[in-house]
Amino acid sequence: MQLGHVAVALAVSSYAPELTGGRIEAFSAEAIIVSFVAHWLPNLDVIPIWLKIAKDSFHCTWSHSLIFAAVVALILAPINVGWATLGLASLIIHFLADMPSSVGLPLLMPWKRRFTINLWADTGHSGWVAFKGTYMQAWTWLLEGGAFVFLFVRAYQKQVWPFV
Amino acid sequence: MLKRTPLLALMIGGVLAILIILIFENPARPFTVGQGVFLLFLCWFPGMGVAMLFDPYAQKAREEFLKINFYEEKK
Repeated sequence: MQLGHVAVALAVSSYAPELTGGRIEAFSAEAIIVSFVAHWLPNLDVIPIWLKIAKDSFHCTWSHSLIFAAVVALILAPINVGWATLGLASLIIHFLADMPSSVGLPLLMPWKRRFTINLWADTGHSGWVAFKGTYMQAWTWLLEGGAFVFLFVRAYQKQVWPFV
Repeated sequence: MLKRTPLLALMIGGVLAILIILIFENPARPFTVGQGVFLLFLCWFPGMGVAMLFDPYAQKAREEFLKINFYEEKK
């Protein structure tokens, strides 16, 4: 998933009150920032690849595992419990959003078995080929477009822009 | 991509937009025309996904990408 992550992260922020026991308001700046940062955190594994510190095969390994999500939540919990629960939800939703890719995710790292729903072929971790290749396939349009439609409905229900 | 695919997407998106309005619209807060048009625009994207399921070019692209391993070490 590429652009769809924007809609998914925003949709997660719309559930902030339910996920945090009312500590954070839906679509508030805090909810959006926490959701976005947590949601994008796994994809920062491309930075060491760009810097040539890690191999291409580093992408979608530790950063896309449940142990990573648990560590992030444990780090955030002493700072703010709301951030921890919202961040954990965002990370798990990120994994679900990436699972339709053929490359699969090693959710149970260090056990290296990869789990995939295999709806679209993986096109690499970054770059124009990855982007273009993603949108040459049907299921990415269906699911990512669906995420934006879902976000529209959530915005309507929560009466935020464009429904103010 | 077949020429019919974007048009088919528009029709599927239209049906999806109507369904969403029927299911989620609150009679006390009806969608404005602008919001309806925006919804139709958004629904075109998943509609495109459904239409591409019936497009052989999209299927071929998937099969071609499945042959490539983007993570194997470069020699």
